[in-house]
Amino acid sequence: MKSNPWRSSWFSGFASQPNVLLGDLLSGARTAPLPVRLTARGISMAPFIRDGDVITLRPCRDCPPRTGDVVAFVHPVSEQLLIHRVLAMNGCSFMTQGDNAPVNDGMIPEERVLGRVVAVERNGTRVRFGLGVERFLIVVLVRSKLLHLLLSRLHECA
Amino acid sequence: MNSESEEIVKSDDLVTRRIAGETLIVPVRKGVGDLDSIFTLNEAGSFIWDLIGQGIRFDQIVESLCREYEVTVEDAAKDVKDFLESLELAGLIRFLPDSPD
Repeated sequence: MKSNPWRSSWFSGFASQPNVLLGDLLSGARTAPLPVRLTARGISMAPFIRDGDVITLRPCRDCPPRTGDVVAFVHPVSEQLLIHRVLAMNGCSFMTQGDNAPVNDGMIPEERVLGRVVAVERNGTRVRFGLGVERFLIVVLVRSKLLHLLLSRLHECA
Repeated sequence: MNSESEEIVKSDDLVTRRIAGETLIVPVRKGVGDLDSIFTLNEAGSFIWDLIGQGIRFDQIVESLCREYEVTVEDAAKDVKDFLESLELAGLIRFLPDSPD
């Protein structure tokens, strides 16, 4: 017989891996593949996705990522969940980079990509800029490091 | 929770996953899994969650807990009532009205 451990709390803190759940939901490991909403953290995708924005991810099975899309993936080395833009595709791998990151993430195997960002909400309002046709221009700016340079200068001036 | 004889059922729009003894529950709203609203149940909470999946009633949960854990019926009843009310408030379970006999 066990002592009663529930007195402190029935609900424990969220200590387990959200990546596993995210992967489950988007891949349909447990149910049919489901779109997922979550709050983005960090500044690597600023200004198009900011810290605290709520993003919606759709399973890749429904809409395979293309160049310029923003995707969620688990990095093969760091095992971190990242949400970055696809700069290039090479067979079954994607080169990704944060719009505001100085370097790319290397090649990400297709099976590591969990979903594609299809919507961004900021303070309850839908933000569209960064996911439309302008994404191709953003790719050019990111690849040439102009966007990061521009954002760094703006940050210095502010 | 109106009556302790009501049957308890899980809400339909949930995805659950057991990881390292904890139960993670993700509500699904309008067909979208909401990862910002994850509920994580500890071992005892998971024990009860599994019982709820079997269409069980309040008294049966308390009995099962008393068999599994070192606790008095009074304490278990009070704690289970609080826990079920939390689950209901979070929209994770609902109580089916008593069926007329």
